[in-house]
Amino acid sequence: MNSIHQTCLTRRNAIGGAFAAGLCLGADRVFAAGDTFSDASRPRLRPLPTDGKTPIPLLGVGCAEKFPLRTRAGGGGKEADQRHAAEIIDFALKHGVIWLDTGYGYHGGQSEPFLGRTLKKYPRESFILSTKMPTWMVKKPEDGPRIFEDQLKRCQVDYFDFYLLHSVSNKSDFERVYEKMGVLDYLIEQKKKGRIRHLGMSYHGKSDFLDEVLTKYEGLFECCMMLLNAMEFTWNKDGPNLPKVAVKHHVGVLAMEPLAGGRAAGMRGEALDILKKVHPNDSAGRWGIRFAASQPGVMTVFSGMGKLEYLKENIETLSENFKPLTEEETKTYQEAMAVFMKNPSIPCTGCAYCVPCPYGVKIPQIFAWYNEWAQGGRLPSDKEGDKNDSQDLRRRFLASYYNKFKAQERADRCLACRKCQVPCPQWTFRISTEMAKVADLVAHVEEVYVKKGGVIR
Amino acid sequence: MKALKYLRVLVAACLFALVTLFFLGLGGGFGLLEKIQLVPALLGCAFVPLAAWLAITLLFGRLYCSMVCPLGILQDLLARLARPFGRKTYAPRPDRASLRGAVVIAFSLLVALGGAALASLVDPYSLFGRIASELFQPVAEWGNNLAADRFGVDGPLVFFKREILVRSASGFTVAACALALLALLVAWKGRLVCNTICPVGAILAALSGKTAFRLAIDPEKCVKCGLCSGVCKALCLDGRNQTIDNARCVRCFNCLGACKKGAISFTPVRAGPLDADGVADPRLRRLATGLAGVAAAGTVGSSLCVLDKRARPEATLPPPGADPGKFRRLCTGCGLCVAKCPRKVLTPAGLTEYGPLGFMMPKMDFTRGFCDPNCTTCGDVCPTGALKPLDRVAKREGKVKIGLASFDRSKCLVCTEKEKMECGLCARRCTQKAIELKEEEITVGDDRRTVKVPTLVAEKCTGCGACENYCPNHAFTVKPLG
Repeated sequence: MNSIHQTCLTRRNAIGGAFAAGLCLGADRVFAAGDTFSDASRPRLRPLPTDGKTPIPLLGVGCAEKFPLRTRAGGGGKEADQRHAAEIIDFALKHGVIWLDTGYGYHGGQSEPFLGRTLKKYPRESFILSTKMPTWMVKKPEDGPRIFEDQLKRCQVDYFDFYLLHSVSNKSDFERVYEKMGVLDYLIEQKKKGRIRHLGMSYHGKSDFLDEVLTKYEGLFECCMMLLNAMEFTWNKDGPNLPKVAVKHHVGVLAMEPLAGGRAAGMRGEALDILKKVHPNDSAGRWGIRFAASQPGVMTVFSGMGKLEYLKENIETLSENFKPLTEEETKTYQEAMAVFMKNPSIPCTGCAYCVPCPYGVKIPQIFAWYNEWAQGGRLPSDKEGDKNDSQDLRRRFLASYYNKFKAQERADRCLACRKCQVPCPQWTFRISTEMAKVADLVAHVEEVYVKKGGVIR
Repeated sequence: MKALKYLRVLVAACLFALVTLFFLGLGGGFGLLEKIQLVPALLGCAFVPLAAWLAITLLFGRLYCSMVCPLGILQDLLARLARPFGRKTYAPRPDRASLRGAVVIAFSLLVALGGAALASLVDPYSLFGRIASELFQPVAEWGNNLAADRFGVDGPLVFFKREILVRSASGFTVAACALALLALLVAWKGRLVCNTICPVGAILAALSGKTAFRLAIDPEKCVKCGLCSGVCKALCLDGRNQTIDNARCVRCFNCLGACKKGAISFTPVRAGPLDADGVADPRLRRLATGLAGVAAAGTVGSSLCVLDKRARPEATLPPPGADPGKFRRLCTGCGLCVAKCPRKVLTPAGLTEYGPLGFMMPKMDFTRGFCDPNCTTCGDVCPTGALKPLDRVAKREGKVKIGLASFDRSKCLVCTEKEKMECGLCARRCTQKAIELKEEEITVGDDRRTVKVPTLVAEKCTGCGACENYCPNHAFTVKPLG
């Protein structure tokens, strides 16, 4: 087992977490360890802080984009994907990972119906199901009830254990949708009817507004989902404050994207070496999961696990033997992350929803190739004295690109027609923009290489 | 004396390797060996090499044929490769001087008529060039790609993979047929080609009858065993009659090694009654040769007229630096520029692009790439001067015009796609920034929309073909100037 993990969960436009398969193929190779999974492993249980008794497992299954549900171009039919996804759910439920988190728009609206079909055979009490009100889709007051009723039908259940306000991030949207349109009142009413057991939110804003909302509705929200990963914490200095605010209000913390869409699991090179020095057998994925689970007040860590191995590894990591990161370990992990992030990569997860490109550009392969060079800190540079300012490196870089991709498959063939943008589940970058950057970089490296006397053939 | 043979093999091997490697893409500065080949030197009026060949030939005979001519060495190589299947014993053959004369006249006539490329179907250097570029190069590239896979990009050696190309059906057919025919003739009668249809052989033979150094048989030592005739691939040595035709002799010096009595020598001329003076053809044979020549010329001429009607030279784009006056007159279609073009733009023409007289001449084809503004290779390597050397700076600055792009709106995706789309790839990839995107309101079906339509600035366009190469829907085509 080993290697990669993915997180899933909540994000705007159901583009939610998305995770690293392609990116991390390399990682699979790096940690080839035997399958040590013990069938008796179960995730650790913690009580829900608001009632102090409902046992909640430390690991949950995220059913957003990296959950292996969607038909992928170039491999596996729709049915094969769904069979595989169902296997993962069966395995998870059998091993105590009973919380399944979905959302209205996940997988283009296919995630909820899929869970409905798959969970039908299980007694309702044997699993915890949560879904979310897509805040951005509520345009008029009737939308809230309509969507909620639709969700119950899609999931084939009478009630949701947890119901979250999806992607709360600022005061104006919150007030408009949940207060002025009365959607929150409607949901409270549903809770009274028993169709919602616990309310919560998935939060993407600043810590002071979270504090404001939780103070205003003290006792109403019992859990709050937030981005907990070391990458997010480097970009967003306010990030570490969110769980502290939640703890202050006795709200259970749900960690989403513990591996930043799988990117954190793709750590390699120098950065990975730092981690390997401390725990030679632990994958970058395990470190990331432990980091998320070590934040204050964390009740459950959600991961969008595309492979059984990821699920097994996560169960083991978050089992009874789970130990939070020590201060020393946290420092090591953050140090490695800093090294890793020095070399920015393209956050493509290699899901390949974008292919086939009508013009033949090998989109995921080009990004994976670029990331390999970027994350290994090997992109050629023009800066004099830089260790990457070498003709030898330029030659290797160009040969690697030209040998891997035929003329018609290269980045410079991208028309920027954006047909790939529709199926791409990522929201942090645009394929055509990144493709142009790759094309420009290669052209520039070639120009410098030739100018300095290099020969391409 | 035996050492002469080894010297010949050594020189031939080195020069052959250099010429071949240059065709295959190696050897930065060795274009020189192509420029001193006899037909290119004649066409390009290169006086120094011509004077050198005249002097060398008058002194020693046809050293050129065994040591410099790549097609000659290729024949020796083929014979050597065939040796494991049985050693060939040659038999002397009477001279066909009249045939050689007819070949020289026909060759010169065709060149004078502006058909250098077609005439060069029998020029040994050009023929070798086609074999090298169309047959050897793909094999070399296959080997290169194996090495690239083997070493990867982190190993000590880094290889760039290359596309294995069969550029055009006509080029491949000519090269493959030529090589096959050559192999057959070598297996049948050694260097038969060199003393029959080769114009270079014919010219050099005319000079070699009375050279300063000649091969001669010492009748006192000779036992008429005929061993020397058995190894003479030019079929010019009759050991049993003790005659050597120095005009046909390609100076391989194999006979020196074969003679067990040391009776053959390569020495300054002594009056030798045993030296056959280009045995004259019988009259009847000369007449037959002449008639056959006329018939052949008639057939070739009439088929040329037929093919000429289908030719569209006005639509065929010549390489950059093609001198309008010299290109058609001097290009022998050797394929050196084709083999060396780094972007694989140049392709040998078939019978219709330039017309039959321009068969195998290079033309631009932008399906695989476009003309790099920084590249002047074709002009640099051309051995005849059909392509003039290009000024590097002028080429980079867009002052060398190859052709002019033309834009077909009805094929532009932006103007025709059902769903509105942006593209502008042509403008981004244009090497001269000669394509501007102008906002325009257009109607597609029932949909009225504003899109950015490519507009060509003709003054800036050099005809490099980047737009043609990149446009996925072939909205651009580069056409010849004027």
